[in-house]
Amino acid sequence: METMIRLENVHKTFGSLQVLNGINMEVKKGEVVVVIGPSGCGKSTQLRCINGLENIDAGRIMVKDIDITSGKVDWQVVRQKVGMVFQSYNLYPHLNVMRNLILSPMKVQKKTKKEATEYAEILLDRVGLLDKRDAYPGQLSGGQQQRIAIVRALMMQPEVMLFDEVTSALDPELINEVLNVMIDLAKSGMTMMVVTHEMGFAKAVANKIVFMSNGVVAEEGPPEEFFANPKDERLKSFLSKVLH
Amino acid sequence: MPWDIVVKNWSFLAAGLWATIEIFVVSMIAGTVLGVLMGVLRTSRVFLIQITTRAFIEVFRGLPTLITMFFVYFAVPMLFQIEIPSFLAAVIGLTLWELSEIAEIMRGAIQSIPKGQVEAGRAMALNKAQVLIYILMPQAVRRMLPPLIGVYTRLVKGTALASLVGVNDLVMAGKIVVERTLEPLEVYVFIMAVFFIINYPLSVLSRKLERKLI
Amino acid sequence: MGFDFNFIMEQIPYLMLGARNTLIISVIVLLLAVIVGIVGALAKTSGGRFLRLITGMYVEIARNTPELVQIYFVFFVFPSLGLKFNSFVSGVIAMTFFGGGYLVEVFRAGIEAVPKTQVEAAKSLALKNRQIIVNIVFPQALKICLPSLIGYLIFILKMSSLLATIGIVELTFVANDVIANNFHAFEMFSAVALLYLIMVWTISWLLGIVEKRFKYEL
Ligand SMILES: Nc1ncnc2c1ncn2[C@@H]1O[C@H](COP(=O)(O)OP(=O)(O)OP(=O)(O)O)[C@@H](O)[C@H]1O
Ligand SMILES: [Mg+2]
Repeated sequence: METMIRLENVHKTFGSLQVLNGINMEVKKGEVVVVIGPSGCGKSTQLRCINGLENIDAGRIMVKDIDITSGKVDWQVVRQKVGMVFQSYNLYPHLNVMRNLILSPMKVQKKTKKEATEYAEILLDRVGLLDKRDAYPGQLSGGQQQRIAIVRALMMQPEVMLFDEVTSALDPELINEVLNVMIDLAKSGMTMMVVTHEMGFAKAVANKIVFMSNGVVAEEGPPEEFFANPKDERLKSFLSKVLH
Repeated sequence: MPWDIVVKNWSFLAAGLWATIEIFVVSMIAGTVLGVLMGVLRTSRVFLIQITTRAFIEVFRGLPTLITMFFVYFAVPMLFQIEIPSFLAAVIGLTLWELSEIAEIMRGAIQSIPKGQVEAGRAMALNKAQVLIYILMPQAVRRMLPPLIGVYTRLVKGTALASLVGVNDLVMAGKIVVERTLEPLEVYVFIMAVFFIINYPLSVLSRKLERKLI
Repeated sequence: MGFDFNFIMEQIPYLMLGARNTLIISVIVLLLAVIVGIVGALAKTSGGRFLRLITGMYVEIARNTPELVQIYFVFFVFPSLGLKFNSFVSGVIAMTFFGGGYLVEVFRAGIEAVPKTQVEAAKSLALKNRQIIVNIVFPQALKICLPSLIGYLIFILKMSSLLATIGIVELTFVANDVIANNFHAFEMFSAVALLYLIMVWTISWLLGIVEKRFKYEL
């Protein structure tokens, strides 16, 4: 199967803080890879590097056949292939839902307003928020905002989606409405890289789970094996904390 | 460029600068003392005090300082048949503006202190004045300092208005020298430089304090 | 000496002319200063080192020297350098100079108050830097700045009184002009003060409404 994302020996420091310390990882087309690990181990940083929001110090990151660390990459091309959803939604507060959705398709992909709006309506309907098309982000609940944020990323018709703890800022009763959207997306065949603490989600849809610790991949494997029989000591103690 | 115009007229310009400094210092002290008093009165619970101080502050913050100064210099003497010298008119005009600004800053600072602080003080058996002096003021002063310095920089600039009611300050002295020599560039660059040298350190200080508070 | 109402009544047309000109000049200066402020803020936040240095120097000079002297500088010094303008243009140039200096800082603060995450979200959606500034950062910064902008109109309006000194017929000029010919300084300055206060208070009342609405929205 085609490789969508590959990280080869990726290093990243912030000042004197070594955050990524030789990460190797691969996400194949159609796979859902769930990344877990203790706070501060570099999960967000890793995702941000894949999208060019941070630069790496050493190593290589490939998105399909594009080396995004080569220094002469066209980010506008890469970022259309890679969608990203943030923990804090980051919807544009001054634009209503529809304008949030169609801005990039119109400005970057030069779609007409009509085309973009029609596609937005299809996606909004799929997440059950078509009636919110004219609302402003501030008028929506966290769960609704996050579903809109997912739709906004999908508007670019990306080939991979990155999710960075997208349910962590939500009240417990709102988490499932977002997870359900993600599960549907996974079932539709989207390639996904998901940082999350939701182990139920991981068990349900992940093809592979990756445990990061101290800036490296400490253990990885398919979910059944991963949870049933963890080998790494840090993973064992991590799982004993998050599974209860 | 012949910069000797400033040198040649130095004693004349220096006398003007001295008057500017006098106006600044007198207004600054008067405005600060009266402004703090007015600020305390402004937070009074007595409605009549509240409303009069508020009206006073709104009027003198709202008026262009030049108008206040002209009013003192031209209108008040006519009304009361008295003579108000230029220097005094300038100082009164600037002080009325400044004290209103300071009172407003004080009110903001005092009201931004959580009510719990007053209650804690009262709970410790302090009386009203003690709460004000030992609890509210020390906290308010920290918040007041950056905007207060801001008022002082504006006051420094405001002293230039004194020339318009006939004070022989730096600006007036400069104008006279220009009329005599017909060389405006040197003189005005000099005047700007003098004000800049006084004000720049103040505005840097104000910004530093502001950052420290955040 | 009593308050001569009839005298003020006679002066109303002239007073209204002064008030109108004060407002017109203030609005013109506000618009020009907004442009200067926006350009300066962009230079300061995303310009190169040289541009930032120049803008910084401009802002410091504009803010740390008396507005009156800046007006004199344009009116008296510029002609000696071969730049001759009439008093209206001179006044507008000088006021735009110090007004723009303040607004650079206002807009810079507004731009910096837009959360970084907004820029990141826009980047992740493949927008280019220029598109991000125009579509995402700027509209939000403007909204943040709006209350300061209105408050700033008050500042300009008050400062426009200085233009009387270079012969522009605005409200303060009208007062001086009238009292030069007769002895009604008290009536005249009372009327002019009242007109200034009406204008200033109306603007700050508007400001209160805007601020309240913003608080509600955020
Ligand atoms: N811009 C930055 N400058 C300096 N340090 C940073 C920066 N961004 C992240 N860090 C540090 O890098 C480390 C890894 O951060 P990262 O956000 O990737 O962790 P994480 O695994 O996502 O943690 P969490 O589960 O809390 O989100 C942390 O110690 C963080 O403080
Ligand atoms: Mg994180």
